[in-house]
Amino acid sequence: MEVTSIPKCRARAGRRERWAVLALLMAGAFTAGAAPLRIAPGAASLPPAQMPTPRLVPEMIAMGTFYDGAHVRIEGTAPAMSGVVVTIEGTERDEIFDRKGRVGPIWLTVDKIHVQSAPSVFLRFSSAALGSLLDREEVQKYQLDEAAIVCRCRILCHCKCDSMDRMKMSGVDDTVPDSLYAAVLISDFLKLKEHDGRYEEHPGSVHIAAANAGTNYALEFEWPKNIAPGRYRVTVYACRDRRVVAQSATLLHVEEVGFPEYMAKMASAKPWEYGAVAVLVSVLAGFLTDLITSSLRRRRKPETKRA
Amino acid sequence: MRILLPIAGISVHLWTVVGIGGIIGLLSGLLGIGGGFLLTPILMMIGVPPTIAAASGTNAIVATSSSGVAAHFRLNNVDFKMGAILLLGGLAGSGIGVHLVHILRQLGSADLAISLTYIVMLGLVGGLIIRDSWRKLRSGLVARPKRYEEEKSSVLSRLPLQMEFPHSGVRHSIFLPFVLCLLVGVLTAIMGVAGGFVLMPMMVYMLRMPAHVAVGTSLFQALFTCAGATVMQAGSNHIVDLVLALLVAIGSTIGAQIGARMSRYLRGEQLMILLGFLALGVMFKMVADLVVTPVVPISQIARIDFLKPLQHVAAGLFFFFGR
Repeated sequence: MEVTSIPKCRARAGRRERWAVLALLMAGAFTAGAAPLRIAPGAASLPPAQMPTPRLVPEMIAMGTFYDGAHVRIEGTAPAMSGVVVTIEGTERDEIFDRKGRVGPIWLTVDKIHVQSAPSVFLRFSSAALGSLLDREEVQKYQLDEAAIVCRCRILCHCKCDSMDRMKMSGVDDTVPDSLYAAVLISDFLKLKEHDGRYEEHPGSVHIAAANAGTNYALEFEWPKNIAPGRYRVTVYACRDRRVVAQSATLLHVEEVGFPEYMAKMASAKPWEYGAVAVLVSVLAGFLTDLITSSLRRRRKPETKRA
Repeated sequence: MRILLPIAGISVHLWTVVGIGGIIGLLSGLLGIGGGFLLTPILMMIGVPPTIAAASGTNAIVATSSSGVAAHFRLNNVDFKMGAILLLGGLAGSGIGVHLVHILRQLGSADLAISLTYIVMLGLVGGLIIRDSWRKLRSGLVARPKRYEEEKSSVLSRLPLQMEFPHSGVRHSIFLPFVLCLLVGVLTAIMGVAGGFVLMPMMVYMLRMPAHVAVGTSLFQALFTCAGATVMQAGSNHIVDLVLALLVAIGSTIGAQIGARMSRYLRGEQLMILLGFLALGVMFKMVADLVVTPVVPISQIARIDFLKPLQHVAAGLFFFFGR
């Protein structure tokens, strides 16, 4: 069923077709061996030069009680006459998904998918369309698009656990899908991440200007409000002659501060006490509301009687 | 104004969450249903991760239920004795249901069986409630529970351990509400929702409780079930977001108060008709989920082990009754 759905996808939408084809290529790569294909950046014969660390403003995004997103500016200097690609990646993690499939006229959960080592976030900004800056081989080598990112992930099917915790405890081995099914799963996974706004690509968003020492670049964007706290790796690639000539990386810290930090720490350090407090506060909130509304009602009644 | 949810780690519009709570609370106070079936998907729509939405929703229902129970207690609508028996039956049933789901999943095609059972049951319950209540409303009959004398001829009256429930104005064997709620518990474990839809009609039509008392008693039962589930989820999975729960609770407790007051101005049949339409609405939503092509065919698993921790309680109950 999953195999025949690829041509259907192509017929439906060009966007889906693009993913399916790319994903098929990736799937072929990582299902060829038992271990996922990992291409280490900078493993080529001519490693790219280091360039000055990009400047982040702010260096840390503080998530307070009334956090309303943040405006981030990334700037620096790249070698002369080069285009710039900036990637922001979250930490790798394992995730489990339900997959729906058509069974006759209805859609049912037909499989459980386990994705290993997928970055929680992948945002890419560039001074021009990626295809005009770099060859496909370079994009693959430095993992500069979503399809290339999936290359380092491992997608497994027929997962038997409902939660990651139970999976870790039971040590259940999942099944490695065949290349065609893997392509469909990769395509679905990327679509979900795009839909959630966790994987995004913004060509033409990095501004570059020629300077004495090279090329000045600057990127400004709104940090997505739905992205969880953590450490995010910011990497800047300078591109010339369709290859990466220099790169530099730094970390962007996104941290909870004040009351949210206190709550998060309590929930992880004293979970049972936190649960009891949660129930107690909820019950009190319920009773308090009842008390307030009933006293308000009592006040109104004598007034109506007098009238 | 936006506010950060500390456990979910995302920023949400404060008034949106409070408004969502208000709608859930209104339904809860009016109809005696927990509202978890609506709350989790709506919270997911505003970007809350599925497991946190489900667990924090459970915590919010604690506040809604306690507000509703207090309001209904003031109106003399809570049968504590019946509520305690229903609670024990529900817990035992949940434990059995969790095992049953495990067996069904191992057999395969459990999802289809569960979905179809849910759709057929909601359709039947909703349809029958609407038909029955509509007939009563048209004929001008006032819903009146049978008194003890009327029940004497029934086969059920010959069951052992008969007990009077003065608040509800009924007399039953202790086994009848226990076994009925045990069955509801099994169903809720299979379907993954709290079960107000099934519990409410069961109390009105099978236990012959007045609709208003059934609403208050159902909320009393939901309060304890959800409180237990919240502590378990916070303790073992760390997925309860108290800020999210309290924001929902602010809206829902106010909504529950309004709902409880509104229920005074509606006749029992009218309440049941509303419940029937809601059940049919959920049924149509489930049918649409099965038929309409999803935007993205994979989704993060929203199920949490809502009832799994209750297995320990159920095991204790079996031990107690088995002796």
